Amino acid sequence: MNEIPLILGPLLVPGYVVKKSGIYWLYPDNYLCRKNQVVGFCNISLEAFPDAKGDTSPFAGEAELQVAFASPVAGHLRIDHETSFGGYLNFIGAQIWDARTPIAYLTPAGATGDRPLKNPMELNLLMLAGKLMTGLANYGTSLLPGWHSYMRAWWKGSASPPKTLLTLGICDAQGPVLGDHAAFLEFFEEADFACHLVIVPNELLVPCAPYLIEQFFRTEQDFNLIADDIRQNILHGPVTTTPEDYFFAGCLLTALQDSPVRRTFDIIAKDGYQKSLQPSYILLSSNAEPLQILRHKKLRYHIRIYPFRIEQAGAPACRAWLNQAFEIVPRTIADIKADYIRLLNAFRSHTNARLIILNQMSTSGREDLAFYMPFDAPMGNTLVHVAAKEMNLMLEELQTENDISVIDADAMAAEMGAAHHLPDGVHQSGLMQAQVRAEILRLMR
Amino acid sequence: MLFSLILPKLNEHMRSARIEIIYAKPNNQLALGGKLFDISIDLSSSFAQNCPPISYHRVVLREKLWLRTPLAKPGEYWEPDACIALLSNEPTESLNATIARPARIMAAGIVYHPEMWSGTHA
Repeated sequence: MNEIPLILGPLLVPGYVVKKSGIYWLYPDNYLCRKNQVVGFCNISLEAFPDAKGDTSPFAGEAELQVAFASPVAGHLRIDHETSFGGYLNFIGAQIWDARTPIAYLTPAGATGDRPLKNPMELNLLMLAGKLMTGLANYGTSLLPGWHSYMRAWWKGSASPPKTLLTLGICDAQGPVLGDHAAFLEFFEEADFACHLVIVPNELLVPCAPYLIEQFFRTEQDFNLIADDIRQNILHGPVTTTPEDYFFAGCLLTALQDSPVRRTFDIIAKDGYQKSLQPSYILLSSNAEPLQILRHKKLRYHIRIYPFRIEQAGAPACRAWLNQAFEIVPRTIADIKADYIRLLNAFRSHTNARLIILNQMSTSGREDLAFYMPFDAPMGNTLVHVAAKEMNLMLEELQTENDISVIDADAMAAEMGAAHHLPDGVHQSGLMQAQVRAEILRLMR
Repeated sequence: MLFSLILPKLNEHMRSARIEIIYAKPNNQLALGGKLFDISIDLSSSFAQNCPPISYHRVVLREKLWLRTPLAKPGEYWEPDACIALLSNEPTESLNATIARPARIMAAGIVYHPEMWSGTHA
């Protein structure tokens, strides 16, 4: 058989020894893998040389580091099962990174003959890194398994500096970028240019424009005032705190503290590591923009929290604080447009990143409205699909007047059939995610 | 004549709906287009999900009827096609009469508002 030995190739981090766990293989022997399809992964850890001066790791603060492997050509895979140790040895960095020993063999698709190929082929390495919300939330046994304040990925072999896509949206933006394995795999398989993807999950606060603007401009002094208020009114407030309240308050403070737009990211590229990548594109969901938002009565900052999150969190002291300390402020579509413009100007003061916004599904085949009398005017404040149409028109205007891109998820869903591919208007099918992803890739190309 | 108010199936994946608010009062006459109730549909209601797909809907009457007895209360979950209230075209119609047909209603997706049950109990 024309088998090609597959090797990991070098992974150099100056000042560190790279160690790896045993390998998790995602597919069985003889699996016909596609070009750039991730077939396995391992955890890695960096061990500083004894004479290293300080922490110069490109992953400072990112406790979760993994490397996923993909074949550079399509073919049938034969796995060396000795590479998977099982148990904790598939979790901890038990072995020094070995660049040259084959870990699998590949028979290229369509290959004939019976001549073994001696020259090994380097696997493409997809670097995965995540900053954990807390060091206690490290689960370790799947792709990017922890609870993250952000996570990111890039091909290690990129010769050119990659374009960084920072996703700050909710599920309709995150899904197409993260893909079915929640580890960016489909995006990297389909991307034909160097890219670096960063996602900031929205575990507690919904990333709407007022929150993102305030997060961007928040000073340490502002943050300390918020933290003091939380300390006094939640942790030492009138309602007895539970462990859930501490989680809720910690999660809230983490979300309010740093703007990911101001952050820079280091990557390991082809020859060692490269520092300070800034976002080239920022992806947002217009579905994150509410028509009513919570504003802190005293400190005047805005947040949006889904009611189900408050229900799920089960944090009585935080719930009481939210009810007492915040007021509901209505927002019109014009307010949302003004917020988007402020957001655009804020981000442009710091980065050249281009804003990409996903629009909203604006129709439903299940609605049978014969008249509008039962719904209070203005209709855009009451009927979800009228609000969505007004939002989409506003985004069109915003696109015409400013240098941004809008992805027409509304048209895609209507064409594909929203009942099957976007049943609740936010959560897409795999096929629709692929279409949205293709559009993001086209805009980034 | 007595009419049933049937919870409509508003999504093919819908397994249940939560009654968020009931607008109509018992023994009150409702005009054409009278607001009956708002509901929420969580498409992941069978099992917990990190980000549940929740949508909100308003159900209104397409004919002039009296609300006689609501069978559902805010906060309760009901299955689609369940009878959640009885209505009649006369205020004195016996509630033991045979149900003639389901009341004519229509439904539309609405924007979440804080008067909903989930807004006051979250």
